[in-house]
Amino acid sequence: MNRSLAITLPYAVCTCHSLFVPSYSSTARLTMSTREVITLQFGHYANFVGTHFWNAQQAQFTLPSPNAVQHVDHDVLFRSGQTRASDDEASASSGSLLLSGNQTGAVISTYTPRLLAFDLKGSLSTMSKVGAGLYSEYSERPSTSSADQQAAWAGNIQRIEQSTAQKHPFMAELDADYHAAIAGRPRPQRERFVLDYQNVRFWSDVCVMHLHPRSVQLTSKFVHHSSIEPFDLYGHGSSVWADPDFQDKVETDLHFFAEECDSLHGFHILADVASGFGGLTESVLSLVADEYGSKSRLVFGLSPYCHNYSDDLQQETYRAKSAINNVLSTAAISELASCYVPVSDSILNFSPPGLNARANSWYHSSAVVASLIDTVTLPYRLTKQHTSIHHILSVLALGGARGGLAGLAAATRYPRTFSPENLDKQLESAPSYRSSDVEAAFTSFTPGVSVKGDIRSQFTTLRGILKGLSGEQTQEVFSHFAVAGSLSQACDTSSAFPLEAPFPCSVFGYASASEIPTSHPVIASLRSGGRVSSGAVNHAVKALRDASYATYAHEYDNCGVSRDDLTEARESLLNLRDTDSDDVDF
Amino acid sequence: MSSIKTLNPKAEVARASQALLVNITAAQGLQEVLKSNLGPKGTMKMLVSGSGDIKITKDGNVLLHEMQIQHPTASLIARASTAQDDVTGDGTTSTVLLIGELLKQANRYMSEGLHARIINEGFEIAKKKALQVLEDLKVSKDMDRDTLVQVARTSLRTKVPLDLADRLTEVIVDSLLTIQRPERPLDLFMVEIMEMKQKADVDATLVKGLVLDHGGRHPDMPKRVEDAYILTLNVSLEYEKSEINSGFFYSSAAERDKMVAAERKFVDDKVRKLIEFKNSVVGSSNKGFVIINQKGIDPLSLDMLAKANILALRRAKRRNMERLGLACGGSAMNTVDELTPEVLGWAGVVYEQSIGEEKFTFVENCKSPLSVTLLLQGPAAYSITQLKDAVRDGLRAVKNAIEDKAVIPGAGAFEVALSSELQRFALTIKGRARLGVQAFADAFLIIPKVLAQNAGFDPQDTMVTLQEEHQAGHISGVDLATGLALNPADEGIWDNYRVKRQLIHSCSVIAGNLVLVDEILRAGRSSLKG
Ligand SMILES: Nc1ncnc2c1ncn2[C@@H]1O[C@H](COP(=O)(O)OP(=O)(O)OP(=O)(O)O)[C@@H](O)[C@H]1O
Ligand SMILES: [Mg+2]
Repeated sequence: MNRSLAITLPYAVCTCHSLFVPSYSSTARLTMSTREVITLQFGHYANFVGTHFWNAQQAQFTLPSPNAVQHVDHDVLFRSGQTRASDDEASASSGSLLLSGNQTGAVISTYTPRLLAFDLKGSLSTMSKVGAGLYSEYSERPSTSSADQQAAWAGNIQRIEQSTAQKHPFMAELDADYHAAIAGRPRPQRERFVLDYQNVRFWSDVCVMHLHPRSVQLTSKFVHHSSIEPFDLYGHGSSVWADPDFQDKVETDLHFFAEECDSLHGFHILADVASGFGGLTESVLSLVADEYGSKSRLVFGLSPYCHNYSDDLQQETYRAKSAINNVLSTAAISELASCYVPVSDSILNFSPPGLNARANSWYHSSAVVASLIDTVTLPYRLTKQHTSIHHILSVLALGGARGGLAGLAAATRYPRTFSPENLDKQLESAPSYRSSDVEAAFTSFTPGVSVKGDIRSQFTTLRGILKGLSGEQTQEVFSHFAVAGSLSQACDTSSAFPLEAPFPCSVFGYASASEIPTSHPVIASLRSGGRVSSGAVNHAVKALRDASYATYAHEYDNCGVSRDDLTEARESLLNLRDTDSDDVDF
Repeated sequence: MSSIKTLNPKAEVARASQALLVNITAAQGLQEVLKSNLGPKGTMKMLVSGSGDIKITKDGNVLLHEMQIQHPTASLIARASTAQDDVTGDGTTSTVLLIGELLKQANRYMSEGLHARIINEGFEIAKKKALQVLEDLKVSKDMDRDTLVQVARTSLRTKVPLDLADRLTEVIVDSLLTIQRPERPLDLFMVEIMEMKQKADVDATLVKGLVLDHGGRHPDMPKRVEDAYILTLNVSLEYEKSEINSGFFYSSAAERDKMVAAERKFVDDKVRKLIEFKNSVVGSSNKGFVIINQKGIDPLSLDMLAKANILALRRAKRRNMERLGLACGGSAMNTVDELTPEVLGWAGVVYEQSIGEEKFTFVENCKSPLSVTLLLQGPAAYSITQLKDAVRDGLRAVKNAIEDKAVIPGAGAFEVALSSELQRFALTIKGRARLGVQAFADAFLIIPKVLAQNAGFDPQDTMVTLQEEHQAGHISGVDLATGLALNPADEGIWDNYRVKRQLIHSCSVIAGNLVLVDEILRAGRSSLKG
């Protein structure tokens, strides 16, 4: 137990600026016992990232903890609810489904993410828009009384069925296990399921988590992967929001998750900013800022690398529109966010250290991004001696992230773990943000921002890296990861990132199934400062310069985005850069 | 319309005749799909997605949207139908049928060599005349409750089964009559539609007040409060100072605790003020006291309020804050200082109801509310959606009638009359444009024909009967029970005036454009709103 306490020691300040590190007293803990966070995901890529993220939470429900203490407080992200058992659920248990009775109509406790996931019509493949059927009362199977109602209709009734898509074999296996469990048969022992990246096409192909029926928000105006009317202009997002029914549903469902929180602390927002979803994110975020103004809003602005186009013209169009959408998104969303972290996986093309992901597979690249987001958001989701989301964002804000811009950097296969004996020696040879060969271990996932050089503040999470260090030793390791002259804080936890199917373990370089451990250590940091914002802004603006806006001007015009809007967005980004580069002293 | 251009880059190069054929085929294709929907005996369509999601509809516009049209001509027609829906809320199936039929009739003449421009000219002339005929046929009358019930019933019976339609009819008319004030425009937004999923029959009830989809969050709060003062607030009763959470603003644990305590006291003081206020207005009477707050209320505050026997709801939606004032009176407060009894609203009863994990709070029996709620219940999401679509159509129809101060005889009677007026009028037109007018006149018969056909009668037989009746000077529509003629006024079958006006306008514009192939690319949505 002693050891575990040391391991879960909170964050520390380890810079030339010394600040008091609070450790919460009992009264303080009483007043902040719950710290709920609501997650919003916008777009298919964001939902891929989210799916891996939620799968990782699910894996952590059951992951054997080295200290037999549960480290992650799942109540931050999840809600407890209840539903009634339907006919075919006599008894079952699949992670998020816990039965407290076994007859039909019995009350079933549920545990589902506080989540709104936005996507286009046709993006769910074999998943129902009300989730995988955890809530029987939401099931769309015609009930008898509604069948009666239809039968009362004087005219004909015509049933028009869309052909059913094939379930992904992984999901089919999961279903089979689930049904075996319901029927009281033992869950069959199986090999680890290794998914071929080529046949994972939808996030629902790998979504293990049961979602609450209110989570999925589908827009009916635009169709997933439509070549006729692709959802590829910023203004498309606002046009979707203009539909009062859509707005009403979003508001109601968001309210459902928010109202029940006793101490809502903030929002995690994953957003595809290179497509029409950027515009939708802005619209929804304005609502959130209006209604929940005092809560933190941590936004990860995702621009997935794209590959799928065989045709140069399409590729060029995609690239140009992404650049335009990205500038519009970054300007608008960073204004509404407490912190905006641009994230791109295009770095995966250059085989960064410790990673072996296919940048052209969303299933792969989103897995890497998910592991990092899980890591950097972990500090305020721990059961013991946690910090708060406000605190982390304050650290970043003090770094002068005036527009709230921050960067994401990580070491996904750090060459070593640290143990108590000969710690000095271990540290000497261990890479840090300060080492001259920092790029050998660390990778920046924020385009335009390098891992090298000064930053102003940084919050680092080390998971599964420290093995039984004392408090003092932990501090020593923390200082190793600090950047000189910056406000650096760190947090460590023994719960490494879980590796469980359908997570593609090969992205972390594991070649064969036999070599895959149950979890993987990760170091990830959120960083801010003049260099970060100017790097990110320069990158976005340069991409815009290369995009020939004139070619698409009429399309943007048609959905309500004028040239002036774009110029204004660009100016406001450049301003961000300028204010940030001013020395902010604290 | 560059977006159409990009949809179909080849449209420009397609030869005119080929393109015309494309347009006609597309228009008739859509007509075929929607034909069976028309009227109270039309086919109900149940769409089942690949993952089992269900949508039930009979509405032309809803279906068009579900179909995901990938054809430029078809999507142009779909837009006309959407415009029809935006402007009037009804007549979308008729729009599609009429456009298809106008093209079909036009093609008859064009295949004999008549030029598209002449046809279009005829359409223009016919449209002007049709609008005149519409004025002549409209029945201006006092929009009393009976007439409104008939209008709502006509609309609803085309969407849901008879007995359900008749139940909804009363509820819809009464909801609008409740919020209607002399000399003030009707705001449909003031009729809130609330959905409640439960394993029971489909039903709709009028709540003279509000239904909120959340409840008190404390086990000791009253579940039912009668004769209740309602205080609406926009004041945070939450301990949430982020500076304290962030850990930068104090230098020791003791100091932090002091800040926490101070902040807590700040929140508690606000709650205490509320309780004092409650005690001062309620005194020893039996009145109840309910707080509805737009901001959060944390558990400790809830606890204090519960002890004072106050029912308090947190995080009320913005739109409901406005409605609360309109339903209960009183005004929303941004501070707890200087509260006076004048800011309070009142409701006869406030009570909570739970269904599964969902809670609802009814704020009911308000005195002359300016905002009411229609509560829709049903066993499945799709049945509630179907109900909601129907209720909205009904509300629109009633509002239209009130604003138009007139209605149009339905059951195809208007179309029969229009057609024969136009036939007669065509004879007075010199030159070949007459043929365009002729085509227009013939096309409108598609509505009564399809109404009859969908009820299982031979359209030709019915048409002969109807036209004879018309000749004899009677207004006659299709009797769906017999296939013979009936007088819509006797049966209370009334359509909206503005629906027919928009129909005449948009069909002639779109059909004209589709005939003049070159014009397709320029036909904009803006030209559709007449
Ligand atoms: N009881 C009735 N008997 C005969 N015809 C009727 C009756 N009630 C309504 N109608 C006719 O049915 C037609 C309306 O049908 P329906 O509502 O299905 O289509 P629509 O209004 O064109 O399109 P939408 O799908 O937008 O409602 C009108 O012409 C109306 O006069
Ligand atoms: Mg209708």
